[in-house]
Amino acid sequence: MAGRAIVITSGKGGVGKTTTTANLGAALALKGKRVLVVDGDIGLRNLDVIMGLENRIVFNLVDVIKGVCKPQQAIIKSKKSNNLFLLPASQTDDKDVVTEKEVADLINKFKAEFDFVLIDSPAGIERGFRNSCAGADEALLVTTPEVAAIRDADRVIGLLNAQGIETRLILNRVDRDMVRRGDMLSPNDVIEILGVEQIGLVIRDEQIVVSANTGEPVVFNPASAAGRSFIRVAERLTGAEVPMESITDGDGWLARIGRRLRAA
Amino acid sequence: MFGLARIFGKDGSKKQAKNRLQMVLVQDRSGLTPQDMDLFKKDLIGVISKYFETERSHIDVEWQRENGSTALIVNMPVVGRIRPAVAAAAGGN
Repeated sequence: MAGRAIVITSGKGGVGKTTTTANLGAALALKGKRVLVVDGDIGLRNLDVIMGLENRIVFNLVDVIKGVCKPQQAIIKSKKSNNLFLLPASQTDDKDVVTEKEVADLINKFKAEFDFVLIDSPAGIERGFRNSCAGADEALLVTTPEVAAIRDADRVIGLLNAQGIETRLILNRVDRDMVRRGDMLSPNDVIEILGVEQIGLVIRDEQIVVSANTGEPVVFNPASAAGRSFIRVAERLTGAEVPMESITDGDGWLARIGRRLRAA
Repeated sequence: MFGLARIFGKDGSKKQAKNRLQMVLVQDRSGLTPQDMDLFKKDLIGVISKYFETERSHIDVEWQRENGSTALIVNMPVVGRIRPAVAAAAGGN
């Protein structure tokens, strides 16, 4: 089995990389794929808490690379799925304790055992980012429709292109009402500006905050719009043709006037 | 508060976001400061007007990304055709 290694990255922090990694991992596992999610943020691990597995950590990525333990001893199985596994980052080490080659070699080994290896990259474009990209065949770039996030995304696209890593975009936290009002860049605007292929559109959803509180990814909650979006990204990742979410569904001019009248 | 623009309009603050992004990305992608960009445009205008009659005030320089490569797009309206004398001189050298 030759799995796919995919880095989830963004440039700017706080746009939803870790949430995206956890949910895509869970969505792919729900589809029957064997998935390993790797926390690439050495020193500031977070993927464990987003997945609700923080109490089960014994060893971590750095321990595996330094030969302190075997990979099987560090990898934790998700409570929600028998196909979903987490390799946590170390919380006490510095990014510099591992090299790009060490990470790439390890990711390559995992590709033999898993259908998907998702690597949650830290923010920034320095060492931690380069380590996280080291073993990746593809990249998913997460951005929100904001000037600062898009600017940083553009920078990262340039770096990934230079490394020959195929990059696709997930536009996160889109607010339909704000796009309709013209107070938020539309998905088309963002794609036009960045010039990359889009693979996902995730609607802003309060359930994400709830899910971070409970440690249960939103893909397990059928009522969550964001959860449904992540499932659709997973389907596209596995090659299914799934239309992109529409911003203007039910948005004829009559509906628009109705909304304005109610708001006035 | 309740005007036609609010019912039909789509020009909120996103216009500004788009314009500001496009400006900042030209700088980021080219690695040129705004001052360097002005010099670059001046030089471009100089070279192009050697051969063509142009609309000097309308030059537009963009870095566009498509399919993994970045292209420098210079948009400048040409009003007249090639000046035969200059073209011949350049070709003769």
